[in-house]
Amino acid sequence: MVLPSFLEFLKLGEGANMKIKIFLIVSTAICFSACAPTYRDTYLKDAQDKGFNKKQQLASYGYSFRPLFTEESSGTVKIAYWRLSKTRVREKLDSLLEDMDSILSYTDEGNYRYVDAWGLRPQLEHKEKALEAIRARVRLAELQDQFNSLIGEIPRNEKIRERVFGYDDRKIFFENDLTKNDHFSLNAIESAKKDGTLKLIEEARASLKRQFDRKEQNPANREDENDFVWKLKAVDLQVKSYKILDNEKPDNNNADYIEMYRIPSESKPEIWPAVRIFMFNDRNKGVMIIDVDKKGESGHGIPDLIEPTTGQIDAKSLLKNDALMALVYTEKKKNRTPPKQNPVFVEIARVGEGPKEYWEIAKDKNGWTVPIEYKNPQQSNYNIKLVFAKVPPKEEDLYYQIKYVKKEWTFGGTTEPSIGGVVEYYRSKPPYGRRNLVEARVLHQENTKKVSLGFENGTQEIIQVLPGQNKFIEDKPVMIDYSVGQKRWRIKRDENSSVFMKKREILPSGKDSTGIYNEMEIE
Amino acid sequence: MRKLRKSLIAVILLLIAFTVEAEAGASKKELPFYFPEGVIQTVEPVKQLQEFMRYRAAMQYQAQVMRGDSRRLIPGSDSIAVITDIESTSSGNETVKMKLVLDHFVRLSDGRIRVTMLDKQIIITQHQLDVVKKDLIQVAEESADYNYQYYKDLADLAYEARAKSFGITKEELVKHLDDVDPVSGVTVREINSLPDTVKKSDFVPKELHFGYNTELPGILGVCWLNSGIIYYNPLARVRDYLTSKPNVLPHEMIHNNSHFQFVFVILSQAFDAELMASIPEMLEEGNKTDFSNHGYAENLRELAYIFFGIDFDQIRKEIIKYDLAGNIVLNEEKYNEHFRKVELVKQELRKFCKKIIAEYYSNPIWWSAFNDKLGDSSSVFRVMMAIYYDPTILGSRDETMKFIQLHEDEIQGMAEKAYKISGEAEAKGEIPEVNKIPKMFLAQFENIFTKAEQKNIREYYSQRPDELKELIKSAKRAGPDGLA
Repeated sequence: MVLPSFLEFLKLGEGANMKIKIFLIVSTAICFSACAPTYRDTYLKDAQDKGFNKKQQLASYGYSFRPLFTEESSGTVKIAYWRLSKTRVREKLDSLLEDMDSILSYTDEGNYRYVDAWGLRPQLEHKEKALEAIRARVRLAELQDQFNSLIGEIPRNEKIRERVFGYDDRKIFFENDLTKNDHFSLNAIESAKKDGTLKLIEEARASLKRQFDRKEQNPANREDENDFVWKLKAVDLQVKSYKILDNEKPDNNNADYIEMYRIPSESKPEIWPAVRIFMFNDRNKGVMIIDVDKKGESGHGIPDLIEPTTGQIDAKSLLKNDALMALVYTEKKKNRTPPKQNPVFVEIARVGEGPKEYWEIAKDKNGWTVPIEYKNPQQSNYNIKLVFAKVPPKEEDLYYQIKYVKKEWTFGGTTEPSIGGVVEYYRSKPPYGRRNLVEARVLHQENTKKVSLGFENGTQEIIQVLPGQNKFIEDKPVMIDYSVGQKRWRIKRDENSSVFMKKREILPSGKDSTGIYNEMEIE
Repeated sequence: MRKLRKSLIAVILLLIAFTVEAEAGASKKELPFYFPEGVIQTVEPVKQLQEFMRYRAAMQYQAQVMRGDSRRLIPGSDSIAVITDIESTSSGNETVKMKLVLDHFVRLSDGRIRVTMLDKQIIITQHQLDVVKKDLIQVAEESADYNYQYYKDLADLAYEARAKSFGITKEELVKHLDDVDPVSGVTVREINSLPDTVKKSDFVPKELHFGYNTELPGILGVCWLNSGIIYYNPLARVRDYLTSKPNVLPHEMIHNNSHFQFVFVILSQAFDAELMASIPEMLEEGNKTDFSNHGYAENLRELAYIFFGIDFDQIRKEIIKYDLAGNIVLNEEKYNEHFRKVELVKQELRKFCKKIIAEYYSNPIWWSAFNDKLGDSSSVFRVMMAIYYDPTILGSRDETMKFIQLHEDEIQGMAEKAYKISGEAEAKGEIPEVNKIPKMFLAQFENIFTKAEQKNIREYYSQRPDELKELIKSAKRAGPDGLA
């Protein structure tokens, strides 16, 4: 961005937002947060404290880059790149990749709109791939240093260590062949491999497949916190332990070298181990190298972590180690799923012009049926429950009217629901369906099919609602509720039809559980 | 008295030094209709500044300096646009023909051409439209060519520098650059972050918009990184005419070159993108104002002070006589004298910056990491100047180097100490206990949670250190067998 030089102090940032970040507002003031001291400030402050005047401070500061960051080699001055550690370079790559991910992921609307509006995704993704490839190389060299340090091959002298851990262009980009997996080795293990004394002493395998392991927010709908997807957990690991056997009867059964392989779905182990452990049994410790990247993922074959270990390790303890399992099956969290686009539509729905209820109408003339066997051969595995009609608002008398008689189908007894929790709704036959009841209840403590009715004229009647035809309810239900999977459905027939042509999803009833009679159900 | 001092400070911020040089003859080419009457071209320093201040006053609306104003514009399919013959490869590797879009030039249904500017709406003739188009196409070509001439050797110089770092010859390096790495599928060139041969078309935008960015008052040009879109406003065009060779458009074209300035690199603040985009235009002979004056060149001015001795603060003090309520009175004699010296510095830097920039692009990842470590987005300039020049700030090379020689050990000691400390606090992160967490758990934490989740968790626990300690303890208890 170009400002006329004398206009520069006009504040650019007023009303600035992400867009402005994406243009070119780059100032050193923003660049480096106040928490990290800068070389310049630290140096100049020190020079001032030493009594250097302003010009002397600047003279020595400008010059200081020469002795500090250059060295002479064969008569020519070279930049001492090694003064910066590999770790600092890798950290910079991490931050670049993090920024790249924030641009490419769909978590920040300002970012992804910019990327997609100008069709930048392919070139940015390619650049990301290149950055990952660079990072893999720098990380590998960094881990090699750590490995060598843990196995004691790097002297403790601070100057030498700075040089060894320093950035090394040749080592990072020339010397490591990433098509091979031989970046970490111990002489003892390599020699034993060559002379055939490294023997397999233990082999173990553990597997688990869980379809619905955990819920995660639906990446296609980040705006809705309640929208989720189920994630699968699939673990299949093989561990092989080796020992250097130079005699037939070793003193102990401790492994000298262990490999753990992920076994992908095609049931062949990955070519390169996910975990390798080099044990120093004489010192009761070892070094564990972990590659979290699975086959097909960027970085597979190049370790990600190195950890020192203590104590003896065997296949069983490794396979029981939940933290290690989680690491070996780390899921890379790149949110590259575009957000769901809500369709834009118009429908003007005036009240009264639409249907009162919304049903799915069967395409087949035979209508809907309950796709579950829920009746015993005698068709007697049900409880009776009563559903009362609401009292019309203006009616002053308080007599009850039965709207439905429910057959609540059970698994055999009275309190366990049938498969699918089927409930049938029957209409009463005349004269029972009228608003003339002072009392109506199921005598459930005696029999869950026995109904007691008290009428306005003072008479009382006890009716047993037995299977088959009876005087109290119609022969065929008007509605049936049932569950399949996690959904509950209702099918319904019209009064003048014997076929259940209508179907809709309903929520599970909040009424009494099967065989429980606490609430008076009114509909 | 305090008030007077305050206004003087403002003038010092506004103005810098200028020397009088030969005025370029006014061009005979037909100028676009929006140029103020009587616009001239000049490379005479005082004149260049005087003229620009006047043009800016005359075109104040085009400078977008009206503030507190929520004006927005909607250019669209009715904007007059032309697909030019100029090739653009600035956004990725796709080659397209540059589209020139005149945002608020609209052809009406009766055939007339209507132009909406920030202060008026006028009708122009077809001929006037043709002049505008021809002029903008010409300045785009000239700007791209100007950058290309400066940067055409960049790749070669960068290969040379990197080969030196690898300890091989440039030829050995170059012969493998286009090989594809079998592991990642990207080229060896990309793995080594080396530039491809620079093409003129790399600077050409996909779309050059002649319009306004009303949300950015005072801006002359804007580039949207990687998108290939540049905005260029009427005042910027007049300024580029005034200086004979364009400055604003070449600057934006460097930002626009995605092979040079990639969007994520900018967001990561890997280097001083504005300073880089200011080279060569601010060092151009015809640009008499920016190097001595512009904020983007601040670090370069300090280096010129340290290594070439030129004191811009002193120049400023000597050239500004007084401010008569908005009329700045300059000491033109001093002005001329000092600007001849400034030109010598610009000339030297113009040549040397090629080497500096090539060094940066020979290993941009390393230099970006080094910038982070030093807390200095221009470290490549400082290191390269220190290698190739002796400081002269104390009055001469002799005096300065004698002082340095005397204090060599102290300087080295202060430098080592400053380097050890610089950029380190940042790495400790927001959680003070972070270093006590086993790396394996930290890696797991980073892998399991998204960046946003990590941020929330870090914020939560940074407020609750006791809970964090408990969490770390329990994590260690549940940790892998045998891990230290």
